Amino acid sequence: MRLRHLAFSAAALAALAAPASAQTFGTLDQDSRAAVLDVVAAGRGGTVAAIATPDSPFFSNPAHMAGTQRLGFTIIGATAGVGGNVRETYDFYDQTLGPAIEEGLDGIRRDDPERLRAIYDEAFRVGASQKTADLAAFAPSARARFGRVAAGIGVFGAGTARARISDGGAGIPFIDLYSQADVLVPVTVAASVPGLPFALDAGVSATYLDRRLTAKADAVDMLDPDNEKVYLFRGSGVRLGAGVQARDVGTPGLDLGLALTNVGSAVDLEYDRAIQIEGPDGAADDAAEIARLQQRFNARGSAAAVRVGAAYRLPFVTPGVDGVSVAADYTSASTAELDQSFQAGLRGGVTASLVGVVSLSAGISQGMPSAGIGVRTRFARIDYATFGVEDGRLLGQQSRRNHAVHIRVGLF
Amino acid sequence: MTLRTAFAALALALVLPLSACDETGNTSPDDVAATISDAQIARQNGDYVTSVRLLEGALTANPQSAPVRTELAVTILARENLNLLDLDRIAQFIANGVGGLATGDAPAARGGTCRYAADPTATPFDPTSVAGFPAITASRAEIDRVIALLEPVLPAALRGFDVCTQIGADGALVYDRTAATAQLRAAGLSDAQISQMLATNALARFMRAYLVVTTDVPQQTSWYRLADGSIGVCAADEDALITQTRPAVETLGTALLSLDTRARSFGGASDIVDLATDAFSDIRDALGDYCAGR
Repeated sequence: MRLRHLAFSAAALAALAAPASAQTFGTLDQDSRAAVLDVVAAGRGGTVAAIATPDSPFFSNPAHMAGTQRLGFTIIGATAGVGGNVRETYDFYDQTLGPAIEEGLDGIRRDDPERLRAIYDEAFRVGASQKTADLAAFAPSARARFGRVAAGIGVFGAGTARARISDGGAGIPFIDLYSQADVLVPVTVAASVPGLPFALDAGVSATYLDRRLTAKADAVDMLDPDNEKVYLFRGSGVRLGAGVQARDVGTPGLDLGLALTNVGSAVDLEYDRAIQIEGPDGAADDAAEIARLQQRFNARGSAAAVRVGAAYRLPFVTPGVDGVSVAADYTSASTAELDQSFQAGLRGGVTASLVGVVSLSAGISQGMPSAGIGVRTRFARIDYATFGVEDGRLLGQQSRRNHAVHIRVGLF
Repeated sequence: MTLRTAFAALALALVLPLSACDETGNTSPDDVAATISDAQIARQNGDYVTSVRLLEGALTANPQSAPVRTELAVTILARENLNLLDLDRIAQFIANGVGGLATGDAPAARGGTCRYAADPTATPFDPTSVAGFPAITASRAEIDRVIALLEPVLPAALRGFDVCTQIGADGALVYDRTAATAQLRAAGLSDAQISQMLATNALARFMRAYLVVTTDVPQQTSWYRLADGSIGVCAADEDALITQTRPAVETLGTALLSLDTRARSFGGASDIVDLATDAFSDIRDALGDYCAGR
């Protein structure tokens, strides 16, 4: 018996790998919402339904706009955040995976397969959890009150990047990268409703969304160091929101909030252009990859998010400490690629102000502790928060620690 | 509502998330999608025990579920640390002698009726001396379990490969790929799951076939690497060898059908399928008299 052609190429073998995850990034809802990271709320566990932040009237509860003083505006601001084991991942890529790709995985496979297996095993360990980067730019926004009615408009830029490495189903690392950049223009109008035994504010918002996104999902051996592109998709849409906030309900200091946001159809994304990452300019586009991305992004829904919460403002604590509030929220918005359990929607937190300048906050979000600190003056604010995000379906499955800092200048 | 009552209600709401009283482990057996998601996350975290436990429970409740069978098969192979690197290592060892154990090659069947024994360019080797072979052998029961799990999932068109009739004159495989793909989708598998299932089925069947030809054949075989890159196999009774290895050939053929479906229906590279089809053409040619006599 005589056989030939038994030597399979590494590339052909790698082509067998398929994503082990049920979904790659961007197929479900958590990135479809039109919002920016609210660092102030994040520090107190994400509670925001019944307790306002500078950005909550635009993205969380439009009714909060009614709490605007006569005039307020932001001239410019920015937010930056990271999540997951970013440093460990960078070190692994910088010291191990990157040099191996440069050296040639095919050669390593041929000459030292155990080394390649060790690299892959480490890639699975380091890359299994999600890593994120968040950036936001705050262009001018303004808000003003006219009697019982208040209105605001702003321009925001928000970017999110996600990365993870999973087992491609047959032992080959599968790299999943996703990046999204939004320009958001929200307009919010709110009014105080008279004639009730408690104070009630109601508001609506409409947000114009211009979105660009891209993704790269492939087995590591299939990435071509000599010719690799990313393909940008672009689309736009409008998202609507509505909310109410009742203050001093039943007892002084007890506030309740309810909001429905992100109402609107999914953004219809169309292929925009390619960006050459490696290789010569002018190389042909990969039509199959573009088609796969198109199909993947079109599969993404756009579920509206319901948020309900309560906050209690303590009347007095101690000299030098004021503005103490305790709050709890429930939100239907999933933070994962999957529909999450009820517990994953719970938020709780407390916040206080020291001598009117420093704010401290703490909370629990999705079973993980959070904390925040801010320095606030009439013309500038800076806030830092650390908080947890659950990337799995249930609490504790894929917990991710995040850090974010926010700075803005304006009149508050 | 008094202040005390309001504060107590808020405190209770705050304590709830701390309780960590989530639904892990309490998933309804009927909630297959949720169970699969939990199992996938556990697998990604390296927790194969939890992943297999969840999927075994789901399989008990839904014995016909193709997604559950697929996920369980994928997880078992991952737990056994069997992957494409092993397949690649075997292929390289057979073809090039790379990756053999230090125990040395098998003695050549010099003399007798072996046509390669007198070929001075032919290099004898022992196919069981590939690195990692003991681990693969130790995983045989799990390999068989994976094949058994996927057998009901496989459409009829992807089973029962006949080397004599299923390679056309043009070298293309003869089977109804469209019907096979439609049947898999009708079974509730997503395209990603179909890709995984086909890759896993191919890997498991390749491993089983390799174990069959290297350890199950009841007569001694001699393997040679020939100067033109071919592999020669001799046995005292070559007709019996054909009969004895026929199940393995069919198993490999079934693996080939899975790979071909995956490559041509879901965008994977088809190089490996073309290479393997060439190899099967050789097998068919080697079986020429046998096939002609049917």
